Amino acid sequence: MWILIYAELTEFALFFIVFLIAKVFNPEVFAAGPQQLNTSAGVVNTLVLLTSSFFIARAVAAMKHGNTKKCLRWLLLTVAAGAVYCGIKLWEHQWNLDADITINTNLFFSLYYYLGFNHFLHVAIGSCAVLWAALNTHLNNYSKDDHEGLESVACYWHMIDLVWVIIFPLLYVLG
Amino acid sequence: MMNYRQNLLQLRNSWLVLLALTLLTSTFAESMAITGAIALLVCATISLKASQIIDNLMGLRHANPLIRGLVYCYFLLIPLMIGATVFYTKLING
Repeated sequence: MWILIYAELTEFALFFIVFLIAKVFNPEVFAAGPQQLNTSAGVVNTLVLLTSSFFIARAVAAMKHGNTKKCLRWLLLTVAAGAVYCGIKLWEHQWNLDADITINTNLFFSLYYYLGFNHFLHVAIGSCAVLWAALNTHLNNYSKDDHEGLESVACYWHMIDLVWVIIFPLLYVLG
Repeated sequence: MMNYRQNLLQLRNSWLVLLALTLLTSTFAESMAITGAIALLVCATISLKASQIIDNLMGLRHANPLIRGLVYCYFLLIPLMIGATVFYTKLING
């Protein structure tokens, strides 16, 4: 699992480096970019993802305590938070289209869409993985002493949240 | 070792710290011009938020030092690179 997590972090690091190099060569475009974005959508999505990380940490804590029912409830809340994130992202995409912001608007928005869509895909895949963990929890495949699969899924989900911790200020605040 | 109740309390406190730091960053985005000092503060916030997630939510505080160290390095290096880029672009643009 850690090899996958490091590979994913490396992939995002390459995106960040490309973004920063592009910023050095196009400072005006990148300074103006964040002002045209819907900051509220970015803030709400950050709060949703951080809350989802709290939910999945509670799920792992419940399983470590041997409480399968509580674990399942927290996992389903995590999936719900993932769905809310995706819903807000889709709404934000529509908001951007209404403001004539597309992937071709300028280099800042091209990278904004590449980064945003890549992260969106990770949230969607992560949500499916959490749903899989929830199914295994429901089927009693995890126990207090044996729940490595659940912990792996939780680590992957936290990684998705960690990456967003960088993406949010990079795209919406600093540009 | 923490007991279950202490663990839940720590998770809740970390979550609240993370929400507070996010709202602080969003205040910069909404109401202030991004100066070098603000950029530095935003980058420090990234590292602080990451450390909360890594140590408390992921539970890596007592994990293998190599695993924890690599993740920590990532969330120190990337904010440093972001901060350096912001300073550099401000410097060349006066």
